[in-house]
Amino acid sequence: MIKVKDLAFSYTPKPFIENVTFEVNNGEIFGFLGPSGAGKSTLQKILTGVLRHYTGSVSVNGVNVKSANAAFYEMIGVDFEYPSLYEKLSGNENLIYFASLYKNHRDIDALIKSVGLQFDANKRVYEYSKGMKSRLNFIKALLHNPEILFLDEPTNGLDPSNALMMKDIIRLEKSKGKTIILTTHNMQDATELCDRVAFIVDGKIRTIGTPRNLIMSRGAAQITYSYIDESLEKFASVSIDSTAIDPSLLAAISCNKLSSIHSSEPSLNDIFIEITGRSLQ
Amino acid sequence: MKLLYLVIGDIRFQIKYGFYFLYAVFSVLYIIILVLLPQNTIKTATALLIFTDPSVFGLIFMGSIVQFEITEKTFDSLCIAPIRPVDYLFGKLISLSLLSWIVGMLVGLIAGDIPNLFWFSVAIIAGSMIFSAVGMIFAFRTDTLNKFFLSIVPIMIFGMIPGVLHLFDILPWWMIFHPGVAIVEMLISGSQAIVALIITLLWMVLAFWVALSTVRNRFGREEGDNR
Repeated sequence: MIKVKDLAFSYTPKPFIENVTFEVNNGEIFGFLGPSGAGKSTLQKILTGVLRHYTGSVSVNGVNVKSANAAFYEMIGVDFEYPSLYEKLSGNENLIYFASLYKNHRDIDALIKSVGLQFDANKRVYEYSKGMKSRLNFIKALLHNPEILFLDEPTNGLDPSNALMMKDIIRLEKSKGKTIILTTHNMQDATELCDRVAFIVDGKIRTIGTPRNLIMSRGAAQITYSYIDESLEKFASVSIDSTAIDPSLLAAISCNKLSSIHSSEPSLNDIFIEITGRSLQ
Repeated sequence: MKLLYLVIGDIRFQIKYGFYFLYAVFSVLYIIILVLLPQNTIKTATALLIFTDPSVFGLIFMGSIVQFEITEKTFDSLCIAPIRPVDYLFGKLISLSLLSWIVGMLVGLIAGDIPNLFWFSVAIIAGSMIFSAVGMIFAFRTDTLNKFFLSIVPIMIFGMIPGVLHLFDILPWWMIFHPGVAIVEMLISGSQAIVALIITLLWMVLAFWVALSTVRNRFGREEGDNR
């Protein structure tokens, strides 16, 4: 679906995006994870044909993005990180206008309802809250039922219930066979939604893998436990693959002295820091 | 078809953002001015008002519209929509020219003196198209509305003053090559109106060409663009 090989790009003479090579499969949710300024949005602009002064090869659904035409833009939908809406038009008017630019479009009322904006559809956008604008912006990207979705921080600024609603819609689009590129610095979103993620720092991809494999490849989960010893509560931890040889744990279990036991595994954020030496947040 | 939707969208935008209201106020003001003027000055006054407002003000309106789209980031959405830069440009040029023509005709027919309806209409539409295209060029080359207004001051002066002076017949013949003079020549249905039309068309082609390459550049389509 998406093939990128030896991609390099910079806004200035100083190199920025360098040696980027990856492929995204049809129907996959692929996440770009990285801190602000890592090059995620720039990469999205290249994939959507907005920036064309790059070297290397980039093809999306077989189209070289340097020669992207109207048919290419019928095929992709982009949800920008920031609202991209006419503030003095209503939510409904915005969608009607943008829908008119495409050959086909979905039922606008149903889309509005899907993000809970049905009672605010006729309000002007400048009256919307940040979260409402984000939801409107999101369904604007879905209007023409695109095959490939580029979502830039889709849950940014949303409360937990709206973020959950948005993630459900993303999963629904995936179930319809859509390919989704998710750009985010939210490791929770990436872990929940992405089939594979790429860690980007300073314009370079450091690693690509499934969230589960990345987490598991960096050491086994830990067991943390506490037990009563001579009337005092003591704490200890052990790797999950060494529980059978941990004498304190075995003794606590055999004497029925365990007071608590928890398992924990590293988060994607921990793995990101370990691999790149940088924090996502 | 897509061009039609862009024109409709731009008209809706211009109504919502108060451009039509502003023009309605100015139209009433111009009509009052023309009604109060002595009869022997109405022909010159009509040409002066129509040239300096509906014909030329596309320059300011176009800049404002483009700057609004850049500020509200809607231009980013248009860049990834299946529209061609040429459609984007002409959607705005047609919608603004239509507005200029309606206002010009309204003022001219109600209170003014229109020597020839055909030349009068051609002059308004051509003038609006040229100056609106110039407005788009400058709007995309400045990053704030204030910088845009500053940048068009020389264009306003050099574009309008020769046209205004031509109304008083004090310019040499070769000034007909100036776009402002050529537009005024058509507005007053002067003896060189046909020559003025040819000159205006050449200026239009030049303005469209520069505006289109500017829009293509901003759309990110300067390379390999086949749209």
